[in-house]
Amino acid sequence: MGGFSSSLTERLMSLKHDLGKYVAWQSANLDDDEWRDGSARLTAAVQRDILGTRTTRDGVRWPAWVIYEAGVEGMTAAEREQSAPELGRIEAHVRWMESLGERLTSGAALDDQEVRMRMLAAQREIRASLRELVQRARRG
Amino acid sequence: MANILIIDDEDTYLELCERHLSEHTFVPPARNFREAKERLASSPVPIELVLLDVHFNIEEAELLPADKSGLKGSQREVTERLRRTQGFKILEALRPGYPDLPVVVMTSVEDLPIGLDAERLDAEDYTYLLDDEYLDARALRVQVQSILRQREDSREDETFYWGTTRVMRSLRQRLSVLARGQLPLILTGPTGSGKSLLAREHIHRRSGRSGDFVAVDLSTLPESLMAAHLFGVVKGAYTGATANREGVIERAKGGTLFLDEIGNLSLELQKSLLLVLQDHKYRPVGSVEEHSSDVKLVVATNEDLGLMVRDGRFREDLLMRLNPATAVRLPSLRDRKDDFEELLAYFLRRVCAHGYNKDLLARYAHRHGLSSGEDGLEVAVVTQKPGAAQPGRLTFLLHKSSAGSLREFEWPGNFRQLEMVLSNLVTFTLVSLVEDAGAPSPVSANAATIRTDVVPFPVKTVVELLRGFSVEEDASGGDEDAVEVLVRAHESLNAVSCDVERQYLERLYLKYDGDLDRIAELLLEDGSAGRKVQLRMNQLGIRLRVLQRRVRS
Ligand SMILES: Nc1ncnc2c1ncn2[C@@H]1O[C@H](COP(=O)(O)OP(=O)(O)OP(=O)(O)O)[C@@H](O)[C@H]1O
Ligand SMILES: [Mg+2]
Repeated sequence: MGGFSSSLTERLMSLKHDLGKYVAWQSANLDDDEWRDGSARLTAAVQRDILGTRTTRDGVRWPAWVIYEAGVEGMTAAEREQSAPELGRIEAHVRWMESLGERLTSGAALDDQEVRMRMLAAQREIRASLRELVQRARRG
Repeated sequence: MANILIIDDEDTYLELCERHLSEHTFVPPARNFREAKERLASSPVPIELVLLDVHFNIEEAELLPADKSGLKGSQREVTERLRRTQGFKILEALRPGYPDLPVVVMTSVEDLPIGLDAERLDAEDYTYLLDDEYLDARALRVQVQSILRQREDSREDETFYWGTTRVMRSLRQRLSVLARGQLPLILTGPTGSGKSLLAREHIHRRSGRSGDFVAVDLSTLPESLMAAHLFGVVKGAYTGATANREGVIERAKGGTLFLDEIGNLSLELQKSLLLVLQDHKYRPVGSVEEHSSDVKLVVATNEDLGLMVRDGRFREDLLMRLNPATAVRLPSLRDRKDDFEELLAYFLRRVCAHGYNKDLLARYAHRHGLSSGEDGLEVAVVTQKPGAAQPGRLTFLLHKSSAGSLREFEWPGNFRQLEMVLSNLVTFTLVSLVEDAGAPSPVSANAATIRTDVVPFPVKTVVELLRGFSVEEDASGGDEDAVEVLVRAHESLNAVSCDVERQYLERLYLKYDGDLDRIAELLLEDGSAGRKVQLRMNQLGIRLRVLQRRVRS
């Protein structure tokens, strides 16, 4: 397998910035206790991070999976291949987030401790995967 | 807590910081370079730290650099790349104006844009990257705290004491900027407020100039020698000129020339100085050749130069060239009451750090087993009973009433006088404890109750030291030439002799119309040592300017 092209590296760095950084922007600052017990503050933070990962200048909010899709749009099959397995893990997590659907929008999903724990793990793994992926890409 | 400016195109950092770093004050954020520049220049509070984002999704017109014509790639690619690296462009553009402003670039080494010179960035003293790849408010907080602390520490190293008030902090920041500029600088402020010290220790040091710092006190230089002293002289220019001699302008080449009491410069020399400022050109006395010298000029004065211009004693064109709009006025000690306790502690440590006091302290510490090896003794001052003893620390206990007296005192001689009073206070206090070393001291007699690491300043000594300075007020009437000595109980000999010396020098000053050289002739048999006499008078806290007024009237 050849080295990462600079355009692919830049693309992955952007994804790390837009998705990795903001997917847990507020919720990463909450204590483990709060994740375990749940709270209105936690629900608000997670909703903001997942449903409004990025907000455009005109106020439109983009959820995590849309940021992901925009980030990988137009990648060639070879580039996806190069970015595996990290990219696949990231994709699985954002799809799961998307699947929470209305229950996430209303906040009900986060009343469930199991969902909260899985959310925490998903955020962490997205960040870790992007870190590894970009490291790998930058090494060439 | 600190005043922090966030430069970010969105509110994401601001929200996070306001929530998790709430002990700090966040000034309204800047969205691009233009706004950042504005905020830094006109913020009503001094900005102590900047948090700078890297990605800026802003309009092309707002992106740095303004001229994008030379950049490679399609317009879309160029704009994209500039957006992704904009923070660094902003940093580059801001730095020259704010070389020691701490800036945290909100990215980690791992996330630096491709092609950016990470090593160069690392070499910059006041630029920091995030420790963590993903911003974590707790980690950010720790990092901010440690940057601010570092800054405090480096301040501690400075010889010039700034204190903690906002006024002084912003003055410090302003002076750092003015120091690096090419323009001359006027310092005003009462005697002993630190003008000379500031010029040498702060302005010159921060000017980034490799030449020397050269100071000239124009109030002690005879007028007849001024031209030669400033501009140099060539051999044979006049009878005394047996060799070529460099002037201070030459010696300060590439460095800083500090002209103290600029008001004493004759109108003619003012013209010559103007030429130095305008064209970097001057002519040594007796020389036909023009010399050139590039100096950073700092001048100090106690007088109102504007008033002098009106009276025709100072050239207006020179005043304009001295950049009067940025003149800096140092506050008197009276106006520094807001952090007086810290100020007191600082100057106390300072007067303990050298000379006789250092020696006395070492002897006292040795005698009571206080020293902790090489590090010497840490000196503190408190107004209430101190906490538990700590190895290597000596605490002076200042009675509340003494602290009040020091605080409320007028301090006509400002810091010069404060230093002298504190220095004497330490000396007189320790001398009596150290000198009678032979006798079994009362301290060891009831060692169980008396702490040897705490030394109280006797209230009486403080009162005496401060009273010593108010003699002059009632010294007018009576026999013009008489010096009076009052016999008081418990008066220390030193205080008496200072008192006598002070009165004596004041009488001489009035008698000889303020001609310090004549006084020096009389006292030291050296007619050129007027400066020494002046120094001694300053040390004794004599208010020369008050006396000058009396001479004139
Ligand atoms: N801010 C300060 N921090 C530390 N020391 C100071 C400060 N200000 C003044 N001093 C001390 O006070 C003394 C007088 O300072 P300096 O000679 O700079 O005053 P000045 O304003 O030039 O007075 P003058 O107008 O009489 O020449 C010096 O010993 C200096 O070390
Ligand atoms: Mg001075």
